[in-house]
Amino acid sequence: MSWAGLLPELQTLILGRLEVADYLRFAAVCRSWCSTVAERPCLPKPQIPWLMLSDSTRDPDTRRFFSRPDQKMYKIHLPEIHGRGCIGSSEGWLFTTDEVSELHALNPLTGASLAFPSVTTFSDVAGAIRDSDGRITDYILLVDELGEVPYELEHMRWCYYFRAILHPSSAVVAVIHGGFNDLAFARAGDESWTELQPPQPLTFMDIIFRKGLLHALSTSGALMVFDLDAPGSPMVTCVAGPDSEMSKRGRYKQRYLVESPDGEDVFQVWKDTHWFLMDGNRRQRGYAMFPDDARMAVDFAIFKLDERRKDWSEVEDLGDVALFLGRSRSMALSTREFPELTSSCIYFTNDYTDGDIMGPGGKRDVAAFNLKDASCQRYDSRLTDSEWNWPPQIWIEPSLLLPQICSLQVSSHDEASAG
Amino acid sequence: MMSLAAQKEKKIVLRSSDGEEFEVEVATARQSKMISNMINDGCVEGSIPLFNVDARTLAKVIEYCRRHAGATRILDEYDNPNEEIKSWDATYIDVHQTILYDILQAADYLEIKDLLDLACEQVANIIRGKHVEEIRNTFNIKNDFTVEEEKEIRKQHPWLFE
Repeated sequence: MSWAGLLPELQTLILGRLEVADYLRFAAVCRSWCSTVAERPCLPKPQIPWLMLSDSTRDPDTRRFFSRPDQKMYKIHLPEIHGRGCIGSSEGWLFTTDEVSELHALNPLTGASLAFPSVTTFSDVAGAIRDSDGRITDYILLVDELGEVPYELEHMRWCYYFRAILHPSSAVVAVIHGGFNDLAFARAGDESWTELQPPQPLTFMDIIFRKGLLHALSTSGALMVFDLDAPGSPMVTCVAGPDSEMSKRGRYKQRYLVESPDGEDVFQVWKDTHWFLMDGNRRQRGYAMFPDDARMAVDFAIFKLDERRKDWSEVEDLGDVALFLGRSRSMALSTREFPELTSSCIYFTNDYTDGDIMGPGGKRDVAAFNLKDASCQRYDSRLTDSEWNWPPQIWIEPSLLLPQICSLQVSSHDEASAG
Repeated sequence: MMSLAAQKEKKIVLRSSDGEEFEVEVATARQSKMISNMINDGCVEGSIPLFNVDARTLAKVIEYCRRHAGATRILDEYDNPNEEIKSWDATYIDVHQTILYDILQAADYLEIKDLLDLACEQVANIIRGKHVEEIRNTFNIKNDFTVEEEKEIRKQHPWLFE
């Protein structure tokens, strides 16, 4: 028997196991294989995220993506992000901010893009300051006690959006934004952002969609769940943070919220970072802030949610799970499904935001932290220190929008019939 | 109800599409969900005709089922796949493409999930990491795109072809 003799559903089963790059190459083999992909599109399996590297100095329109499963560095021409700040990713979409801090999303593989309501429609953006030519130089932000505070554009576009995520199926985008990490969301076609008001003001650190509901984690480790589909988007559940640990874990400033690969469990992850003075090859701990200093991860703590008891318990390891944390949507993958990943390992990029204000200064760590022995290893040996700088690296799941594949097929047919 | 010992001794006869008969142990036959259901329903008197599986393929599939039925532990004490079985599987599935597709189709028909997974993964491995031209050579496929179509495809994802 040959490939062509296989039942279509078996072909689909096999294609579903491929990485995105192999899947696309498959479609480029011949007409019949191109049709297979176009007629029976199967979304390739969940993918190990690519790492979008910092380097943009040589060609501002090209970005390099490192694919761990393929062991390849892909250079993708992305004129769309010229002059943009890349601030995060979710479901294969790269979030960017333009010169005037408007939020956009781009799928780097298909070139598809999404536009969102204007930054001026957030409730804490009171207005803009313009120069004599009418160009925006600052936005005015309403900051509770301080009143109106001007935010410079460059600061605004790197720091205003703390996190942006898309709902995988419904066209909803949710963001953590502003000087106090507030929550807002928008649906396709909305002209303005809708703010989400928790019962008391909270500073949020991470958001995910889970079972159709928006889950938001605050700095205290409290979890709030919102039903965006109900009128007024009410908060439907609230779980207090892991109190007893707070005093012990005061240094663990960064917080992530992540759902297990099987969707059964929710974890919150705390990251502890330290300043390292860069002095040639010698490193020592310190607290000074010079341009070459780097703030790097030294430890993680993980808490698992007991949904019935509304309680968190600290866990020592993650079993057959690996996490990908950074500026992207926090992701968990099964190491059974991806044996090339190390179980109980946290793959992280440096997402320390104060560093963004400092710009291209200190080194940024991208590494794998193994919870079993608290060891930290470079993400891949072929990535050198010079890759870790500015703008910050971002995990991004390679993802294909099916219409793009279909259009490739359609254009082939059109040309064939025309010829 | 048959005793376990009686079940162990009882054999089942499978007949391939080209008429060859294979006598197999119940435990081996039960690796196939389809045949297992037939056994449960008591429909296994005489031989079971398998219209979609030829003798060459059936012999190969029985080899797999016998090994997996005989394995004392598929999972080790940590619930990880047994290394011994994994390495046996790897050698077993390292076959010529034509046989691989036959096994794949038979595993689907006989509902042997682990074998289906193994065969699908093997085909995926053949495709993985290859340039388009290498895939064409491996699968013996002629490039039937016109020059313009090929150009258009390369234009869509130039990074794929570097």
